[in-house]
Amino acid sequence: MIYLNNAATSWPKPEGVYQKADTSLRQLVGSVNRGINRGSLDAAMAVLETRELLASFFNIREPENVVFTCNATAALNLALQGLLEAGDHVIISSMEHNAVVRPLYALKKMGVDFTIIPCAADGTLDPRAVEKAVEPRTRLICLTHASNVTGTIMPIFEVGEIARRHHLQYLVDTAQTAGEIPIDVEAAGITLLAFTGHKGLLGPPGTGGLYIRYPDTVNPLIYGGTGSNSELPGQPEIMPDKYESGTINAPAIAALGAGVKFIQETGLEEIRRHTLMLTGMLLEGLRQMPEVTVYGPAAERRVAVVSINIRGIGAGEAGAWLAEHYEIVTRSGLHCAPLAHRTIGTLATGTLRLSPGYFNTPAEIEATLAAIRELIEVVRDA
Amino acid sequence: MPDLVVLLTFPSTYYALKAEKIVQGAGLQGRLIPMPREVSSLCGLALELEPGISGRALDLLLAAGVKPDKEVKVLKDRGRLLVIEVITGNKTGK
Repeated sequence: MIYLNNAATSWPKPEGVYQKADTSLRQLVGSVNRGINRGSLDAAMAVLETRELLASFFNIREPENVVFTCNATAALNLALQGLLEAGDHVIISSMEHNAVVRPLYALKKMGVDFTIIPCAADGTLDPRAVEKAVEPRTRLICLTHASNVTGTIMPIFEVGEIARRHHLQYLVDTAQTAGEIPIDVEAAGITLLAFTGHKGLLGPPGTGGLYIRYPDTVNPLIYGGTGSNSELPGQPEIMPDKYESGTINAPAIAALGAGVKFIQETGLEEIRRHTLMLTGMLLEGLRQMPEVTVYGPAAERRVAVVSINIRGIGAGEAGAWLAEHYEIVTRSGLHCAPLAHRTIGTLATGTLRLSPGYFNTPAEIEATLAAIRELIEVVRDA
Repeated sequence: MPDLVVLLTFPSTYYALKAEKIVQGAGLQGRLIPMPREVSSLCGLALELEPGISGRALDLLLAAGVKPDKEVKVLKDRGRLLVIEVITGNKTGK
């Protein structure tokens, strides 16, 4: 099998992640904040260590302000629904995922308004257009760090400057970049950072989180038992308990920590060098095929996400053919991002997305290109 | 023979664990124990320290931004705890 669907979830995981998940599930006997036996404390310590690792990874000064959620979608919902009130205005790009767009449509019914800044056909955003959209009632700029359709890397530093200048909250969705591109919340002026654990951070599904710089401004979405301040009827304000009601997925979070450690030991630069090389190979090979339309910018201006269409065959059929004949795993369709597809002109057709990861090899990219060439021949002869 | 120990309580398990990590990381003896209800630990845990190192441990914790809720002197006798003195000085941020 050639796995080219890392934008959906990374595979394989580093060996240390598998081992940590296994030993944690077997040995962390107890529940975080709900018992004082050594196993419960070890589980809590594993969660604390992952929290601190992530804080260091994103240059977050307050590790307790990193709260765990079950994925990036839950983190984005917490940020948007927890922060916004009737009368607030939000600015987003036209490359955002439904994890942002759908909560905003729901909030619109409650009086929250938003402006979508159109991006270029390759997904590029002009920061000046963002600044022009700032209104007196603007509360938040929400921006994906990179598109999950074209891989286009967004100008998060320039937009962060705009947010800082206008004293706005700034939410960045790092679902496609954390673990591939360096992220520094201080340098970028990020006040809310959503991440997923199971993509570039190489952890298990069911992990993710949100960094909240100003917890006083964000209401929790889930209320309940935190294992702290139990005598109080109200939700505790103490971090991170305020946002972590219910039993936390300690074994998976411990395994996520192993993923982050792997990245730190390997080096983010080395990971980026490798994925950039694979993406460059893929783009170069595809651009030599006149039957293939490639979307998005040059390799160095995108993460390892490549969307294409092949003349004469639908994206879904092409993906199925590659899976059936060569066990090449891709993803076709709209990728939960219809706004992005409208931007690049593929709303009606969708695209076939190939997303390499750190564990892919140049030989696998060559094999994939050969398979696509064969598919083009098959379509031509049909 | 009863032992005199100092207990530090914290607003949440997060801070209690962080405190244990900081103290042990500095090579000091300190461990988390369950707290009796009368001391009213908000997270059910307390960091147990020998009186001789409690000042140094407090300095380390405050420097790392970890503020205990309470500092309590306790006598430990055959597994039972007897509160002698609850200290809520400026040192602990109270």
